[in-house]
Amino acid sequence: MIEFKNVSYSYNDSIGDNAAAVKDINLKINKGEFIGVAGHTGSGKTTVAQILAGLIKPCGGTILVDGIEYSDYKAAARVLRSKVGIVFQYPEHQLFEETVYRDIAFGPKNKGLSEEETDKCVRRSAALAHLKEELFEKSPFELSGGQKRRVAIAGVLATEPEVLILDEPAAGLDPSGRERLWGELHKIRKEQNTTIILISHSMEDLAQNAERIIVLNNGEKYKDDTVSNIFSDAALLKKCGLEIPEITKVIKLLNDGGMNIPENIFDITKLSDVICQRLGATL
Amino acid sequence: MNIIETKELSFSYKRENDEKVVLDGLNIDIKEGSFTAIIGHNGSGKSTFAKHINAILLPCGGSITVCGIDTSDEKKLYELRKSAGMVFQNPDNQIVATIVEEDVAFGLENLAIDREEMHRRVEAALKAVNMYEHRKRAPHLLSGGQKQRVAIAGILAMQPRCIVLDEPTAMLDPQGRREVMDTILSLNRENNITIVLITHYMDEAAKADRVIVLDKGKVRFDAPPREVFREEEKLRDLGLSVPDSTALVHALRKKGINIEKETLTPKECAEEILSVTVDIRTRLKR
Repeated sequence: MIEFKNVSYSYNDSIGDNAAAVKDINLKINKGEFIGVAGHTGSGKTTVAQILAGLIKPCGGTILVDGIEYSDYKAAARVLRSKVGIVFQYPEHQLFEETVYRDIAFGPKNKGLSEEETDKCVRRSAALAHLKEELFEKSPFELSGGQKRRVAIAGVLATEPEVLILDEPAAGLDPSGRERLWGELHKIRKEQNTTIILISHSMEDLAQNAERIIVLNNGEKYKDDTVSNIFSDAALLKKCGLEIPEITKVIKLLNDGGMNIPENIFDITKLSDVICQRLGATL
Repeated sequence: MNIIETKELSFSYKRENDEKVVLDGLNIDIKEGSFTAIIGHNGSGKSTFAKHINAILLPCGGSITVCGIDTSDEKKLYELRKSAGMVFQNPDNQIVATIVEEDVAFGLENLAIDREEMHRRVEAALKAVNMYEHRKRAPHLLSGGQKQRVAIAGILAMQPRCIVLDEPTAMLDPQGRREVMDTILSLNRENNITIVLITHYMDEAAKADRVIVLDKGKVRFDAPPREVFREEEKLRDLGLSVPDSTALVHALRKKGINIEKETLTPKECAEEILSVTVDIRTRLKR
């Protein structure tokens, strides 16, 4: 659906330093995928997300959207902006309207939807983001941190993006808030076939939710593979300043001790089942 | 000796006609040199409590004493903030200067300390957080973990007895998180600085000597991590969780596997599971 061929971007700072943010990125985003993006601070995750969302124009390379090649970045950005929604880090800082309802309605209204269509949009996205309608007339600033974040996510959903990018959406949320957020994302994906791109520093969150992981390192795409292949490769992750999930660490230690457990289990209940089986076999 | 003492500490936000109670009569004593983690769901009062430690917020009821100073005593505000420093979530909001060592010296400049002493303290602080080799660099070119360590050095230079950190790793990558956690542990162990760490990461809380669980402005649990994380179900009801290494042993126990010890790290967890397999094998041999 979206394809990057040798896409590059560099930031020109005022001192004249030409800092390349991303170099020669090749990637493909397919309809309905749940993709995780991992990488150390400064690896280019946010830059790639901004190019995908049509917010910044690359300095080189080709972008294809639905098979159409765009060498005119302005045209590419316009198409991308109509298809891709992005939830930035700490999106609650970007709420600005007087009421929750108006904040969520801002996107659809700007798209030129009628009052009635906008209303439908607002209610549907609020429901997807688990926001009760009784909050609609409140000021967003009266809400709790978790609620504010859901308002911001609902605001992006209301523009009905085909691709939803979330940059560290769980930062600062408590464990139950994180769980709820992951549940919502899977529901959105299931109900609307939305492609989800999750950028996160938490290897646990990526392992439990995504199907494919793109690892960025110093602005380059280092690896693009299934969750199992990425997270069982401790050496690769360490090289990129990342880590294997805690549960994978346990499995590796168990296997060092002579147990034979597949390393691609990221769910605790599933792992406990497998351990029980192995223990049963020794009996 | 207690470095922090609260008596019926209460705080509420008042709006036109409603009042939201955030801290509801907290009695928390923290010993000098200890490492306490505070966990709780969003809105449980964690950050509000932290902001009382160095008088960013003042109690609406009850009192809080830090290093023997009542935080409501305005005359002693500087002394208080020298003794108890605070590190926040976003390192970008805490850095003021354009060179690392100047940023670390910023707090000292305001304390009118002579130059030589200042140099000594900045050097010691940067060495303690392992950032001395980066002292001439521009903070905006550092990684998140490095920036956060510069922020900690800025506090250290004031030679505090206590450092309060409010989700200091929430925005960091795995390596940055590890660097900051290692720094916190070494300041506690080597320099005997009292640490109060507010976090949403259960594996970080597991590294503390003591875990306090807040809920609706009240203390729900207050014990060493091994005891607190034993209560997985109650914690989940409070919107929290336990480290994966603890949860796995709990899941195995539910399936009838007899592991008594609470495990907090992957190493402990794997050792306990492996010792069960050894038990089974030796029993079979007999």
